[in-house]
Amino acid sequence: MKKDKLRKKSKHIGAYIVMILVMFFVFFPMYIILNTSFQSETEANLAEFHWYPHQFSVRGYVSVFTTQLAGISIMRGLFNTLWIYLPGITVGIYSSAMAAFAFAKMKFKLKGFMFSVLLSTIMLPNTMATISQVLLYDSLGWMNTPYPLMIPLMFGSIGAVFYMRQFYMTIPEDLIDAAKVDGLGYFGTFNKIIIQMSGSVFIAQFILNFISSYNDYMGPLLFCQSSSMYTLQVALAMFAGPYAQNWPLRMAGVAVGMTPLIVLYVCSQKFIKKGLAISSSIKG
Amino acid sequence: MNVLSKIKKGGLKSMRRREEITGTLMAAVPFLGFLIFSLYPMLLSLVVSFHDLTSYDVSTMQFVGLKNYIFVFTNRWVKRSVINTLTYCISVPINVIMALFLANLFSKDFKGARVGSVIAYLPTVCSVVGITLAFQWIFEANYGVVNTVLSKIGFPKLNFMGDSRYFMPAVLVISVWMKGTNILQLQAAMANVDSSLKEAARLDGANGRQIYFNVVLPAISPTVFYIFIMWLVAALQEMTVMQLISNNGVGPDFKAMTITYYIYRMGITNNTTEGFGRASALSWVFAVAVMILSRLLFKLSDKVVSYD
Repeated sequence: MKKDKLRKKSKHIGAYIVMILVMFFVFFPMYIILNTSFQSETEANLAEFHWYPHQFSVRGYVSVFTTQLAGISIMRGLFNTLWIYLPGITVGIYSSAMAAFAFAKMKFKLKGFMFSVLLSTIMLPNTMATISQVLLYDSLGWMNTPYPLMIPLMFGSIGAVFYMRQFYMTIPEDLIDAAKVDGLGYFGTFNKIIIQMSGSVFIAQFILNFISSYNDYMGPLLFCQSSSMYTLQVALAMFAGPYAQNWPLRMAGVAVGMTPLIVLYVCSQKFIKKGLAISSSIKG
Repeated sequence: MNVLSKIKKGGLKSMRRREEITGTLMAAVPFLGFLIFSLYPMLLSLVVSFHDLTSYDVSTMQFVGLKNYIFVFTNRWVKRSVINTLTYCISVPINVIMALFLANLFSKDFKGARVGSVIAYLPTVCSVVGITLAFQWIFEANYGVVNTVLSKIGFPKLNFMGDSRYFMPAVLVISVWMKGTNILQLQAAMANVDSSLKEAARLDGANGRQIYFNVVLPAISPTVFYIFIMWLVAALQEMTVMQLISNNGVGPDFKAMTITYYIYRMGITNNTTEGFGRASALSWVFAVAVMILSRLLFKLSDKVVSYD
């Protein structure tokens, strides 16, 4: 029996070796970011690479938190990211859920057409659409305002519609019929009953949307070109420019910029897994 | 027909009509969003592609016929950007194979597998901007860690960011770091594989590898194909890494210039010299090519992949 256990363990030795390699691969850049961010500028630019900070310094972080670097503030960027995206994401989830409910439980003539159009947009080249949007937003006078990042989000996202439709299809018809008997229309049923049941899917969608918005770079780069409007990602990229050789400062900025999402990710593991599991079943 | 059933019928009819209207309105919001914020700008850029436009103001454009399209098909820089984009796409099969391997590994039943998959997925939530800046430092020509190690073990230092020979390999490393560990969707698909199939294969004497290749892989092949196509479409549109790593430049020997980055530079950065017309023409040719390619791949996948 002991031998059997040992054999089972040794069978996994290969798995552990690969796992260690993966850990190394994943953590190496993060370690470099942290290591350099706590060094002084002169130390980072020595010919000899230091694997740990010999002259421990938090000056990089102090600069990131306090000073305005060439008119760009990382903290301001973080603040912009939050207040621009959060309303858009929140309203967007409501819009997506409403449409998802209609697609899952209601009958109307345009249903098939609208759904297949939405489905086909998954394959649309996003980057290209984003660049074309500059023309639209300029004609609307929306350039350098938060609207281009905020308003389109409020209309909901196609991915969220598919995800929540999958969930709403599992709701029994009886529940909706019962609401009908109580005199609620579909819209009322959705607002009074369905939303209350959607807590976990809403959270999963919220987190996934927040991650992608937080990391969005192309949108704010194109539409918010004045420095007071920079989101965190753009601020990170822009302030890196004038401080080309100040690696501790740049790495401190990167660490500050990435930490919130890493914390969110680790805390909301279950929801992310759930959100991705269903959306991967769109096809197949 | 008595009165009661007539009323009932009428009531049902009006309920149907109500459902028709409410349903359409409720479903319309994301649909409208698509029409306004995706379809309309794309159609607008189709119109612009037949014009010269050196600002964002559409009213100032001048009709030039097919000039921009002729530019797209004859210009050698466009050709170079296509080659760069395709070279970058080498990362896609590498990433898919690596993700498949890791997803399988962390789906196994051993201590630490769960933690392993949590960590493996970490790069997917990291910001492209942050990671690109970090790798820019890692690959830095003089003080970066890779070059310090290289010179220590007796190799010459390589100027990854400035030498056209090493630029693309360095970018590919970044891509593999970001996407090759994106395993959650594959893991979910693997968890859905009917375990009785695996058990049956095991009873027939199949070993782990045989089970993987003959049972698991065919069962998850639709997801694998789907992921492959999605990642390919994303890789074809890569520009963020290129723009950041070249410090908003073109990279050594134009190597950072992918198609979408070139579109961006023509339409936004060099708007006054190149113009939005050219950018629009290139983006339309590119979009049509991408859509045809993904359609073809899905058709092909329907033939190859088993859905049972």
